[in-house]
Amino acid sequence: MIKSVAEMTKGEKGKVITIHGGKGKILRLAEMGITPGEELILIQKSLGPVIVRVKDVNLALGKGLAESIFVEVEENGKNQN
Amino acid sequence: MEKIKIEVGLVGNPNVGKSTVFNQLTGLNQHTGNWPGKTVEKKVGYIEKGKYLIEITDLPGIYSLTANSIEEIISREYIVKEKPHLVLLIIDASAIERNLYLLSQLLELTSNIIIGLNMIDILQSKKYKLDIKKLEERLGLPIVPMVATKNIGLRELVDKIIEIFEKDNLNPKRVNYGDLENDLQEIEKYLPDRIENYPRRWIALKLLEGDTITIDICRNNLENWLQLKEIIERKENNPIRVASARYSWIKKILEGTLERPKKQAISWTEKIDEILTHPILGSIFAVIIISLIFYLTFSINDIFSSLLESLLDQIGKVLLNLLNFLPPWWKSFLVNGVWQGVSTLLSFIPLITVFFFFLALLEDTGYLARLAFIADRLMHILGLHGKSLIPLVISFGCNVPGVMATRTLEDEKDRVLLIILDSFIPCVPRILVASFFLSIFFPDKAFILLLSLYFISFISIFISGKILRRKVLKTSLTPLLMELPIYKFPNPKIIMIYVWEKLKSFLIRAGTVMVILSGITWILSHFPTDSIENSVLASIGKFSLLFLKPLGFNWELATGLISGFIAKEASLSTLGAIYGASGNKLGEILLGNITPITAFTFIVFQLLYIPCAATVATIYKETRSIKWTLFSIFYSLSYAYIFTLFLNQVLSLFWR
Repeated sequence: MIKSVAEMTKGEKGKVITIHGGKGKILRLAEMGITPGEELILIQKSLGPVIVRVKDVNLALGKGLAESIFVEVEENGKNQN
Repeated sequence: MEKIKIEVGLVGNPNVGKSTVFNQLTGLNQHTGNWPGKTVEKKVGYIEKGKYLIEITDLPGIYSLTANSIEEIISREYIVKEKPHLVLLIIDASAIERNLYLLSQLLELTSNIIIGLNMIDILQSKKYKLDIKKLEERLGLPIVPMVATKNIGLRELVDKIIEIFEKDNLNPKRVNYGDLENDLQEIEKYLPDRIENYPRRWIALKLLEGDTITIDICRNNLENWLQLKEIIERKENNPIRVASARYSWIKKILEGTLERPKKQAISWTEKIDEILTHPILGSIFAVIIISLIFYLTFSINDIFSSLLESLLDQIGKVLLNLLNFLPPWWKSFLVNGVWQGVSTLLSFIPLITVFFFFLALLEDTGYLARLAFIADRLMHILGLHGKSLIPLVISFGCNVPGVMATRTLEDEKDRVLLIILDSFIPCVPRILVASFFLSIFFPDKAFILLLSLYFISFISIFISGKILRRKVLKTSLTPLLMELPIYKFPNPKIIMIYVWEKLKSFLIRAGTVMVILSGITWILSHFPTDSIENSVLASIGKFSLLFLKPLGFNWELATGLISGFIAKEASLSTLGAIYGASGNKLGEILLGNITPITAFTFIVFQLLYIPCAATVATIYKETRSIKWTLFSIFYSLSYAYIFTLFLNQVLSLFWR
């Protein structure tokens, strides 16, 4: 199932499929570690911003960013790790 | 004997302990300035060892070397134009994959790289296994494992710098871009060996990434630019292809070098973050921490500043006696003008020391980033970043540390914006002046009107934030994208150096400006005769009525406002001097001379009109730009004028 990072639940894992937005934004995300094909875990959800872990780093993403990154998650793919 | 100088550029991602390395290596043997023409801090430190003097330039923390941020431009220009003997890259061992991304770009600019592999203790606690020897071989670069906070590996690092400098034979492996190699070769055919110091391959890569500065350089330097442009724009997704190619190269390097455990242990950081980044618990904790810091900063400051003030007063009296040989005007100028300026400056010492001690704690432990995460939503309402919270909150006490605290914002434009907005936060002295007027003119409604002042200040920040962002800085609010570093115990040495650096730069840089401003104002208010009514200041006050008359002000109020520039509370003492009364007596006189509407307009105007001299001096220190300093004054003056003019009209219509 494909959904945005903003729609992920806490602890859920997903593989980055696509990122919507301009070149600059996509490149900036890549530099911080988020590239298509990479696996990320949702660590925390706040009132808008979220925290994800990718490539051993925890990144805080604003609401807009979280909504523009799409990931593929496994059904019942909850993972406590 | 003259020492041999080794120039080293210190590079690394944010939060990898780069400043810790810098401070551990150079201690207090460092000086802070700004990069020429930028508001970005430049630190240079020195180590002496044997016949060598190692000069370390601490470059800003960066993730990449694109043209999108000033910090990254500064770093890449430094490497190609200053040509340091060595680049020391600090890497967070526990997040090595992401950290090597910066290395992949550095390798295109220079071969002389030493890697400081920091935080290996965290790597071990995560049960990761890293074969450092193998990594060294695969990269063809020397790696020094270390734990900078515990001072482990730093001596080896210095030895390695000297060893590599002496041998001068580094020959790192080149980055392989896989599928992209063909594209690169095609582009490279169009390029000369170097353009403006940048190597051919670097230019080719940056063109694919859509790097604006590199594109401009090529457009200006290459005759066949249009053909080249066509090749670059053939594929829409070139930037991400470059990034992915770099990560694939990194993955290959790490294959068989880094071993991650199947089941990852839950770290301290995660356990703590479960609470501190929690939407509810985290917010409660943030409010407690901020209130505590605010309360402690100003109560500890109170204790020391009253001691300091009486000491400074004593010195002033001694000076007065010592300078008895001078004519009275000169004596008064030196003591009441210049010395007053110096002692105002010195009276900031406790405040800055205490506040920056706390801020250093927040930053060094890693909590500051969490605070920014928690506050992000709230700050968005004001059109600001999560990181703006602390500078704004501390400004309620005093704008000076507020402006200095904007350093925690990475983006230069965000920082300038916040510096300007900070001065709309009513600091304690402004509230004191306001309270005096409110208690005289509106004794029954004083409290509610005081609250309305805070409301006005928020509105002003909101409006000005929007205007300045769109019309002046021409930047949009970049969405939150920030790494959350691992929590760690604060290191006393690092905190001490941090506080000392803040204090030193404030005293030296802001100090000069402040003393000059205070000297000038004294002369204006005591020239040609000693009485303020006949002074130049009063004449300026009278002249300014040309503009201030529509607000209902008389020349006395106008003069008070002008002297309020030195210190906001000075506007009261100046009014007192003009009317020859103080306290309730002054209140009665004011009540007889101005209307309540004028009084309230005056209160709002003095709240917004101009940052005080100390703040202006700090703005100059932080921006290193006369342009921005003058703009800040100009903007707040015009904003205050327009806002209060409007307010005055509305009040005249509705207030009875």
